[in-house]
Formats: sequence, structure tokens, C-alpha cells
Amino acid sequence: MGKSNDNRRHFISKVNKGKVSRHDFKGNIRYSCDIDQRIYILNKLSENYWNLAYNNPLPKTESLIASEETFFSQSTSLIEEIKWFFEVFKHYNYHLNLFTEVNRTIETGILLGNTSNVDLCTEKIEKEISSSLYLLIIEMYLNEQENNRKANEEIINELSINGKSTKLPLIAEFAKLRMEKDLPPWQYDSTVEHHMSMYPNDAKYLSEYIVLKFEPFNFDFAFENKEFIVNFESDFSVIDRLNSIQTILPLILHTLNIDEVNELELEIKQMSLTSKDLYWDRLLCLLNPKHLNNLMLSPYQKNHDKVADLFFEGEYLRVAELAATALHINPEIQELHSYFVKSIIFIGKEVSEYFNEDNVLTQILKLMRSMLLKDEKYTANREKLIAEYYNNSFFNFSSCLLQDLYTDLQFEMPGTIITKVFLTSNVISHRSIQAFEENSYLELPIVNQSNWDKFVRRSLRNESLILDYAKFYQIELFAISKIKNRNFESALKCLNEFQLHNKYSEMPEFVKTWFTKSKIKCLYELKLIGETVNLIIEEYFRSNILYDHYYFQDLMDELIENDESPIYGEISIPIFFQITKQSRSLCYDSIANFLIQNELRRPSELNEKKLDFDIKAVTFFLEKCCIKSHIEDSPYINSIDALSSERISILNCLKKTNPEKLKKYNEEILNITKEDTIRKGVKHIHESRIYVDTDSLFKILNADITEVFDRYLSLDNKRYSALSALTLDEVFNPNRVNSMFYCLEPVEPNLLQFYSLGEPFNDPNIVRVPIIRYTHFVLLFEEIKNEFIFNEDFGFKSFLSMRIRHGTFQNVLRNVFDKYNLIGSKELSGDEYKEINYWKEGNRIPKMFENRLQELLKISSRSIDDLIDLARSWIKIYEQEEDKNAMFDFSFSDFEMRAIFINRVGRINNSQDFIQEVFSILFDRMDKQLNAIRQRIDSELSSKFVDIIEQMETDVASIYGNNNKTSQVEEQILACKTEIQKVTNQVQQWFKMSQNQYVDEFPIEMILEASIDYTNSINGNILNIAKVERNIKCNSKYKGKYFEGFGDMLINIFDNIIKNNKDLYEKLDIKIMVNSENGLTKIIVSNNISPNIDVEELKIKIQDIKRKVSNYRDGNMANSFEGDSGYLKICRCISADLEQGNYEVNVEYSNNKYEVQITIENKNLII
Amino acid sequence: MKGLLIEDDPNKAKKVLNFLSENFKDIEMNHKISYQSGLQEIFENEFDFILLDMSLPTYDQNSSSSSGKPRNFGGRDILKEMKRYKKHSKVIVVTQYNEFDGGSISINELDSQLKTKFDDIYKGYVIYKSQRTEEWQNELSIFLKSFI
Repeated sequence: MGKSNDNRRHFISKVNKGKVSRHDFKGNIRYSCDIDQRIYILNKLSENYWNLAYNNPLPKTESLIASEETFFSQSTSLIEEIKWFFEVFKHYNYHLNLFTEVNRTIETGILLGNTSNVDLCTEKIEKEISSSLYLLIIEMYLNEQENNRKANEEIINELSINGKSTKLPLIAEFAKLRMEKDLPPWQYDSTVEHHMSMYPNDAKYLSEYIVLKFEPFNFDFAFENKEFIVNFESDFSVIDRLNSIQTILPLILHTLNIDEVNELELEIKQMSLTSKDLYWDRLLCLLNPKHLNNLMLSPYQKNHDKVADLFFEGEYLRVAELAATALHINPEIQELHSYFVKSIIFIGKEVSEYFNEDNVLTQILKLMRSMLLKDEKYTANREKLIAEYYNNSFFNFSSCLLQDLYTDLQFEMPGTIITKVFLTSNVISHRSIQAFEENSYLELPIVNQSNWDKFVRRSLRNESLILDYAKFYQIELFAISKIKNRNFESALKCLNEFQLHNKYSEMPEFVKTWFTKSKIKCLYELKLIGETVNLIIEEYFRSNILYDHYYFQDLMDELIENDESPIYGEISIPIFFQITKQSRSLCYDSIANFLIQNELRRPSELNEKKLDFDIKAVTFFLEKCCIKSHIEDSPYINSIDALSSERISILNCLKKTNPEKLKKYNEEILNITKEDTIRKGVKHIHESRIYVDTDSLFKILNADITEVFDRYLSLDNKRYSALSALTLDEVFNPNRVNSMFYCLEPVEPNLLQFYSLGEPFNDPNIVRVPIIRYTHFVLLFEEIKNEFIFNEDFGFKSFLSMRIRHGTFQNVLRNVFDKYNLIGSKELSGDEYKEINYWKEGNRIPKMFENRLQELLKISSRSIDDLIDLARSWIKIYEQEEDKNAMFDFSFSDFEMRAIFINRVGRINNSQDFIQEVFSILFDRMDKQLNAIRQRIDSELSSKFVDIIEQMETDVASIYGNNNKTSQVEEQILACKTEIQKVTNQVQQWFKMSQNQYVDEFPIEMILEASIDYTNSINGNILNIAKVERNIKCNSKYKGKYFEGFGDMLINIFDNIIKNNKDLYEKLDIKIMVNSENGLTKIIVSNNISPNIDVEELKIKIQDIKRKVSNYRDGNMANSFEGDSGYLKICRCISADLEQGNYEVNVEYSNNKYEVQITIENKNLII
Repeated sequence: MKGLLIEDDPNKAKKVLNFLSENFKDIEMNHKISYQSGLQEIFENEFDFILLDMSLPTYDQNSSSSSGKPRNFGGRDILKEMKRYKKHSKVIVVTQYNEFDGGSISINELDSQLKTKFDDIYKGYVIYKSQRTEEWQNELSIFLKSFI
């Protein structure tokens, strides 16, 4: 709208004709008119338009509060929005002055618990001014004090139903929550945080509003959407707008540019002329120090100065009395609170000796005393004081409390708090010194000639002063003023003198805190960084609590920036990093830098070097700083074993230097040893996949074949040759001898082929035997070979089936792709693959690519599964034509058999050696085949996996087009490619002969954890996500030879649980109980079951299992190698590997709980 | 000339090493597969240059033993130790990724960071893509030729 009168009249006419909507009216009147135009137009319209234009500043009822929503223009400015507030204030100056006066009485009433006075005041405000959010808050506050939460719920309810504002109920709800007496501050903060998370990223302006309105400690926050926030508050009642702008201004004042400051100054100047609220006077002084000497002092200044002067002189008893008297009448002189509390601490008195009423004032004073004393209830009472602040943060009397809390919670005071305290203070006090730039404080009017004020001014002017170090407040004021002038040397000198003149240990805690903080500040500013940190650590050890107010980020940044500085030679530096909870990486850096500066390689060398460090610091450093995770990056600790060794060395040092904690250190050593043992146990399990229990086989064979072998040996009569070689269609020739021979001493393999062609005549090394002997040899060999391979309990096939083929091989490979969501599962019916849900959820892939990607993944899933099936077909024993891919082939050709007899076995003349030699031959064969399998896995399996993945990469790249940004699916593919190669390499290592190197003995815990670890590694770490509870009541140690047997049994059980219930994920709940008593070891593993399991079918299956187990125990059922439930394998483990004939294996199901119970006799199992 | 490749992906390592052996016959290459084994090698031997993967496991993984925690910025950790202990080999990062740590930092941002912190030793990065062999090979060649 232009400035012409025509435009105004035109607009008025349109409005009167109803041609301007409410929304447009608000926008135009606010942003298109200047103030004069606005007044002109509004004077020409009905009164309703006034309310519309100014968003109903005097709502008559609660339901009308914030009912006339404000209009926000994107092109507005912060100053425009602020000026809007002052325009409204000008119109309602009378109302605001009335409010200012009455509000003092309200705050007094709240502090003293004089609710009837408060009620009268609120009624007056409501009657003579308007309804407001502020009055609602007071009403809810009083209800809360009277424990009438129901009334507050009704208020919120009423606002929700009848209120015309959408934001009012929410704001009121949060206000109600904040003032709840039994709600801890952290819980309130979590609620606010949770609420903020509900706003989308592009609604940051709303999140900032939440911070402003709901977060009590928002003084460090950098508001970016200031215009919006100010505007959003501009539709509440005029009282609320006053409170809002007075809350917002301290938070944003420091962000204003010079033009904004000048414009604001003009507004405030106007405001201060007509307002009775001293806030505006003070604000004017902050905006422009030239106003300082005109500052109006409150009537309370005299009271304050009397008390402050007595405090200055150290007359603490009189301070306590005078302050108490004043506070009983004017509790809102909040500056007196801390003089009072500090004085009674000096003289050893309690709050209750001066205040025995049960009211807010007494509560605040008591909590403040506890906080300053830092007694045994310090932490709890500090939390209560924070809660008290939260409850009362709506009122001006809480400003000094805020500042005192911040002093305790933080090292540095945000300027926004100092500003707020100055603006809302009743008096000028030492707190005001920091509110101004440079020495502008000196421009303040001098009233009352108070001693404390004179002292401050002289100090700020650097006049020479004689200090009385016995008087705490003097020294405090001196230090404050010197620090203000950045004269840190002077301040430091004074502090050091103070310490010399007073017995530090006898000072009250709050004095020590103030002293330490001030000294830290000075040392830091003087760049004495090492001494700064030393002081902090000294204080930490003295008081055993790190107070938050000793940590500031600038100090940490300085240390990180200068990581090569010699100050890192101080042991306090890594301790500082540790106690301030820096990241693992930073903690490591601090330790590494410390070691370098002290020419050490490892922390354990510290004690040997005899450096001049405090023993307490050394102990803390070694015990708390040098933990495994903080030193594993060291280039001098190169392996997991070396890391464990180093930590154990450190603990052994500590045992000598700090023997009181011997038990704790020994426990940690034990835990480290246990972890190492479990790791070795898992390694053992991995490396024992290929196994034949030749010891057990030998016992069987030795018993079975002895008689046959003796007969075999007896077949040495050459007369047999003719007979055994005779056939019916040949002419008998007694001179033609068909015989076999063997070598007494083995011949070179390269010569052996000649021996196989025929008997070498005249070779003294050979011994001729009848063919029949050779035939018998072949039969014996076959028998031993059959047992070696096919014995159900001890043979190769059984172990191969259980330890590799029974799901393990394909699981471990498939799980890699599953982990990266690159492989799907097959449909229940048919051969097709399902889509992978992961890529359907969220916005992981653009919708337009989804179909193509899913198709691609189906194709690659098939390729992966086919490849795994192919590889699986290699790790089979060749038994029939269909096993053409099987790489374990124990068939020997005639030529080979002859060579074996001639060169290796023929000469053996006892059954034991015979059996062992045959075993050796079979192991040689197996070894070659294992080698071939390893090569094939390496060259074929691994490279084919890489080919499939690289094809996926190419296909995905073509879907996404040439895009420099890596999509999530591409990232997963790359990570998968690296991992599958590593896992394939790991699998490759399974195919080595187990060395059968047992652990010597083991507790049941060890094999249990090793089995869980192993099962986890094979099954995508699902047991880390599931809930697994252990209850071990078994102190027995088991013989090492049974390690694998237990392992096989437990792995079988866990595998079964996972296979059937994997879909439960984190809801899978496994309970493991082991106990050993009365000569029995009992293992019970129970789990909840997947909803996909048909319970009736399960019950039938359980009956089948029981029957089979029973049959097996009775010797009526063979162990099925492939495809069975695994319980027979468990039975086999117990009977064969654990060598126990007396055992129970039971399976039960009831109430969603599936349970396996195994009971074994301990006979020979335990040491 | 002696070089060290610290890379845990066997296939990528093989391709890089093959490329170097075919095109830079005067260079003798060592290969390590983890943060710790790489670091140990740097401490025990002098190298003219190091080709460094960014994501590495802490320890070598052999048979069944754990490789420790995976390090998204294992390469940066190595650079940090090299600087701390004053090792002077020139370092080039060879990575498959354009972004790290769940997308929180791009390769360019990481490159800036590394150049600022390790300007003496860090010389830049090469993006390795298995399907775009020529690109990474050319870039790697350019880098190596600048040292030789």
C-alpha cells in the first residue's frame, strides 16, 4: 500500500464492503502500512478490526488467548517484528504498568507461599487487564503446589476443546509438565527432545520455537529463525507478549548488528519513558552505555548495599540476620539469597534457624546451601535445585538462581545469562560487572557510597588497593574486576596470595570452587595450559568428583590443536581426557603423546622409568586411562594377544603399587584370560572341522580284525600261489608262479612304478607272497577304509556332515550376502525368489529404480545360491555316480593298491601297525584332497563370488546412471565384496587336518561361550541381537579331550534354535542353564518359538524325536548323516565323543517354550 | 623403489599389485591387510610411498581369529600415527568409496581434511572402481610418476 490518502481510503472502503479477508487484512495492516497509516485506518473502522489488526491483545477469556493468529511475512525482518511488539505496548502502556506492579506481589506471594495474595492479584489482572497464558501458568502452578493435578488436567482439557488457538494447549501442557514437582528435569528434557523429533527437517523454525518456549536452559542456542519466533509470540495477550519479548531479547541481543541496535534503542527509549518496569532502563544501558549514568536504581538497592557491605567486611552473622529480615518481606530481592546462604555456611548455621516456613523461598535456600556446601547429598540436591528452577523459571525471581546453577554446572557463563540477570535484577550487584563491555560499569550512578561498589570501581580503575585476604568477598570482587580487565597476572597473584593466607582445607567448598575456577581461568588466559590441567586434576583427586564447571571446550580444543606440545609430558593430560569423557580416539592420542614425550613405548614401561609423577595420578592413568580400547591403536601393540598381555602387565604393576585393589585387578586379569581362552576355544572349533577319531576307530578295528589279520599273515606259503592263481580254463603249470611281493625296505617313489610292473628278480629287498595274501590285504584295507570313512560315530563322513555340511558351509557364505541385503529367499512354493524387503522400506532406493533392482537381485540371488550349491557338492565323499563333483574320493586303483602293498603295508606283521599305516595312507589321500579343495575355494569359489558381485556392481551402475555419488546399494555391494572374500578365506582354512591339540581342561563356561561365538559367526551374529541368558552353576573342570564333543552338541542345539526361529530377531529369547551336581551334568536350553511354527506339527515332531532318541540309545537306530533333526547327532556326540553310555536327551514343548534337556553322567568327564 | 599397499580386499589388492608389477617394474611392493600389520610394516621398514585403503580391519584375520573392530577411517588412523611418529613416506589413499561413515563425509571433504592435517605426507586419493580399470590405473600412474 502506498502512502497516499487515496490508498488508505480505498482500503478502508474495501474492508467495509467485506472485500478483504481476515487473513489479507492482517497481512496488509501489519506489513503494508506504517504506524500512522495503521492508526488512521483502524480509527476509521469498527473496534473489531483493532483486535484483528493487533491479534486480540486483551483476550477476555482463556479460550480467546492466541485465538487471532498472527500473519507472518517471509520478507519481514527481526526489527520489524520486535517493533510490532512495542507498537502494541504503547497502546497498552497503562495495562502493562498495572501488570508490572501487581506482578511483584505475585512473585512475593509465590516465594512466601502466600497463595491468597496471589489469587487476589491474578483476579485483579484478569479483571482489569485480560486473560493470559501467564495467569494460566500461575493457576496451574498453585494447583501443583496444592497437589491438585486433576485441576490442571481439566484446564488443558478445556483449552483443547474450547480454545481457539492450536498452539495454546500444547504450550500450556508443557508448562504444566515443567512445573510438576516429582518430574525429574532429565525426564522433562527427554520429553521436549522427543517432541522436537516429530518436526520434519524443513520445519526448523518450529524446532527453534520449541527450544525457546520449552527448554529452560536454552542460553547457548544459536537461533536462526528469530523473525519467525518473535512473530509466533505476537498473538498472545499483551501480558504474555511483554513476558515473551523480555525473554527473547537477552537471547538475541548479541546477534544484532549496529543498525538493528540503533533502531531498537529508539524503541526502548520510548518504552522506558512511560513504563514502570526497570527492565527497559537497563536494556537501554546495554544497548548504549551513554544511558548508564541515568539508570534508575530500584528502592531495593539500599537494602542490597547494606547486606553486601557487611558481606564485604566478613560480618557474616549480621549478613545472615539482615538478609533474613529483608527476605521475609521482600523475598524477590534474589541477589540477597546467595549472600545469606554463603554467610550461614561461613558461620556454620542452617537455613532452618532463620526460615522455618514450608515455602518456595525456604526450599530454594536449603537446596542452594547444600549445593554450595557440596555435602554428601550434593548431586541429588543439585538435581533438586535444577528442578526447582524448572518449576519457577516463569518468574523473574529465578534469574539469580539460574546464574548460580550455571556457575555450578558449567565453567563459562553464557553472555545471554549475564544479560538476562542484569535485565531482570532488582539491584546493581557484582553480577552486573560482567554485563557491560570494558569498564562501562564505572558509568553507573554511584548511590549510597557503598564500600563494595567503591572497591569494585577502584579495582576497575587499577588503583592501588590493600587487600585483606581474610575477607572472601573482597578477594572475589578483586578477582572479578581484574579478570574483567583481562589483567590475569594480577588476578592470579591475588588468588595465590589468598591461598597462602588461608588454610585451603578449611575453606568452605564453594570458596574452593570459586577459587579453582578463577585460577583456571587466569592460567588458561596466560596460556599456562599445563598448569591449568594440573590444577583441574589436582582438584579432581581432592574431591573425587569432577565438577562440570571445570571443563570448557576451549581448553580441550587448545590441547587437541597442540598435540606435539611438551605439555603432553604431564600425566594430568591423558587423565583430563579420560575424566572429561573424550572419544576413544582422543583418549588414545593423549596417551600416545604422553608416552612419546616421556620416551616410552608402552604404558607398562612407566613404572620402570621412575618418573616423578604423583603415585595417585600414575595409578589412575594406568587403571582408568590405559584400558584395552584406549591403547589398541598403538603401533607397539600389534595383536589381540599383545593387547591382552599389555593390559595384564599394567594390572600386575598396579597390584604392586595399589595393593588395596588387588581383588579388582585380579578379577580383571581373570576376565581378560577368560576372553582370550574363549577366543582360543573358538579358534579351536574352527580349526577342528575336518576330523576323524582314529583313536576310537583303532580300538574297534583292533578288536575286530586281529583274528583276520593273523590269518592274513599266515598266508605266506608259496604253494598257495599256484592254486590261487589257477583258473579253470588254464592249463595247470606248477612252475608258473603267480605271486605278489613286498619290499622289506621302502623304495623311492620314482622307482615304485617299475616294481608295480612285475616282480623284480634277484632283488634281495623283496619278499614273495602268494596272491591270496594280497587279496586278503585288499579286503582288510577296504574294511579299515570303510570304518575310517563311514563309521557312524567316529568316521570322517559323520564329522564332515555335522561340522561342515549340516548347514554350516552354506550359512556362513549366504549370511554375508544376507548381512548386506543382497540375497533373497525363495518363495515357499516354487523356485522363484522373493523381493528383498529391506530395499522396499524407507527411501533407500529411488522408487523408479526399485523394480529393476529387485529383479537384478533375484537373478544374482540365484547365481549365489547356485554357486554355493556347487561348492557344497565338492565337499562330499564320492560314493556313487551322482557324486561326480565330490572331491573326497577314497577309491584306489589297482595300481595304487599294489603300490601300497608293495611299498608300505606288505612288510607289516602286526595288526596295530597295519591299522595305523592304513590310517596314514588315508590321511595322506585326505590331505591331498583338502589341499585341492582349498585351492578350488580360493581360485574358483572366491573369484566366482567376486565375478557375481562385480556384475551386480555394473548392473546397478547402469540402473543409476553415471552418478558420482555412491548409492546405498552400491556401498553395500562394495562392502559385501570385501567381506565375502575374507569369509571365503576363512572357510578355506576349515579344510585342514585338525591337529587335535586340545585345551588341557576347560570350565563349561568356556565351551559354552565358544560355541555361542562360533554359532554367531556362522549365523550372521543373530545371537547378539537375540536375548541370551546364562545361568551356570557348575564349577567343574572338564577334560580337554571332550572339548569338541561338548562343542558339537551345543552348536547343534543353537543352530537348531536359530534355523527354526530366526525370524524372531531381537524377540528370540534363549535361556541356558547348566549345573553339575550328584555326579551329573545337566544342560537345559529353552527358547520361545516363532509364530510361523505349526505347534501341532511340532508336537508330533517332538514325539518322533523322543522315539528316535530312545531307539538310538537302545542301539536300534543308526545315526542319520544328513537331513535329520540333529538330535541323533547329539546322542552320537554324547555316546561316542564324550564316551558316556548313560545319558538322557529330552525335548519338551509347552506354553510357547521349547526346551532341550541333556543329562550326562560326569564319570570320566571331569577332572 | 619400495612401496607398501595396505589393503584388506584380496581382489582389489591383486589387481593393484598386478598393475604395478606390469607397469612399474622398478617398484618392489609389500602388501599388508590391516591397520596393525600395516603400521608394523611402516615402523619396521622404510617405504618411498604407501597406497592406503581407508576402511580397514584392526588386525589381520587368519583362520578364525577375530580381526578386531572394523575401522571406517583406518587409513586416516594410519596417517595420524605416521605423523605422530614422524614417518615420512608419501601416502595415496586408494578407495572404492565416494562417501564414508554412512554418508556423513564425502571423499572430497575427507581429502581436504587429510590435506590440512597431514600435508607433509598425504598426496591425494584415487577412486578404485573394478569396472573402470583405466581410470584408476591412469590416476595411480600419474601419482606414482610424480614421485619417481
